[in-house]
Amino acid sequence: MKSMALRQHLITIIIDSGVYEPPSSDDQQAFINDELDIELERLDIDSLASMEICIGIELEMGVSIVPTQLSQLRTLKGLEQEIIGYKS
Amino acid sequence: MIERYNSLFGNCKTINQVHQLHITQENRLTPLELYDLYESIKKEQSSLLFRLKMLFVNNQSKQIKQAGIVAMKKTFSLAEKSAKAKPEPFIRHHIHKNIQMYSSGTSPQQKTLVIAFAGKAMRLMMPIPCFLQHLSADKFDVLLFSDPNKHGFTRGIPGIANNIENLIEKTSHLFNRTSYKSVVSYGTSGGGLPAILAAVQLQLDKGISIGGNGPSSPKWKALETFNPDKNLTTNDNTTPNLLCVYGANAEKDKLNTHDLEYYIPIKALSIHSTNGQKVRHNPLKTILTQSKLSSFLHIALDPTITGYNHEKEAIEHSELWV
Repeated sequence: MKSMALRQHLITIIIDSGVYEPPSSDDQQAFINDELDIELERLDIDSLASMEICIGIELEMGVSIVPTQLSQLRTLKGLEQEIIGYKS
Repeated sequence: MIERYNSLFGNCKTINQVHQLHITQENRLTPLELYDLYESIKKEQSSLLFRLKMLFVNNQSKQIKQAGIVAMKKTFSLAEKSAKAKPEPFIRHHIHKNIQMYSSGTSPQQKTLVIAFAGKAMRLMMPIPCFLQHLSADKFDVLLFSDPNKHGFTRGIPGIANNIENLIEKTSHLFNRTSYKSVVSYGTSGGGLPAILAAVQLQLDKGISIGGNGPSSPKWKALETFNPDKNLTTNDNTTPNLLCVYGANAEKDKLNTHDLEYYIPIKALSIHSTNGQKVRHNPLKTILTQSKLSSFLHIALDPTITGYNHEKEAIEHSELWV
């Protein structure tokens, strides 16, 4: 999966997970274009959303990241790197 | 049900699949089913055969089994906060894929029907059996709507209605109003504003929104058919009994509440934590953690109470410290 497509997928998963503070449309696009990183704390991810994100990543990308691993990551870019690491 | 769970669990190959199974179960089980399932898992876990099996399975299988036990314990512990000796005897009646009726089956004459609109997570800010366990099955029936579009019911429910107005209109055909003592609507998060709209349009006895959207939020503003001036006005210009609850530290929800009261009179209630913790989008979590959910729900859903606090009816905005 190309990096841009992966970031697009990640944004969709984050939005669908029901986080309380999803990134704005501008920030979503900037992240997809690799012009901006997004702090995960800013998204206000609760335990259910955290599970939904991990389920989404597994279903969409075939990568098994669990909520405890997600909670140790600081940014969305970090999550992208984690996924790339699993795939390579 | 236990066999079905065990069969589905047996198909789980990863921890995320276990979580997905549990989320699905938590969105539909009754308290009776949850308690049965928990007992069966507890019994299995303490059996000699289980402990022997665990000696011979690989680490991944152990982790998967453990994830199931942890998830079930967590849900059960939330339901147990009700401090009731027995599970509430709600029985689930399937009406539609996204509409379930939970009722003990006893006469509705002395009951309140709660028309509940779930949020984006397809639940009422907590697992459904936890919500039901904190109600009395003798006093309440619950008609639960969930939105598979995850769009705050703005597109209705597939197969039932394609917009919120039609959904609310169809809702009125799903129950016999005169057979109940009272009928109220209740919605959390994305289901909050639909609950308010249902209370206004069907002239229900009360409408309660927990952390709901405001009518000016982009999702609602974008709807061609939605006109808050019209949709938030009762046919006979009466003032409905509406309660909006939000977490004291959820700035967006506070703004949404102010937005709503621009269109219609409401009573607002902000939830604060006495131990200094922030109360954000899910104020019910704070109330539940403090084991005060049963009393909160029985007051909030009582149509004879305007807003939340009897003694402070004149106060438009009140605070609840838990």
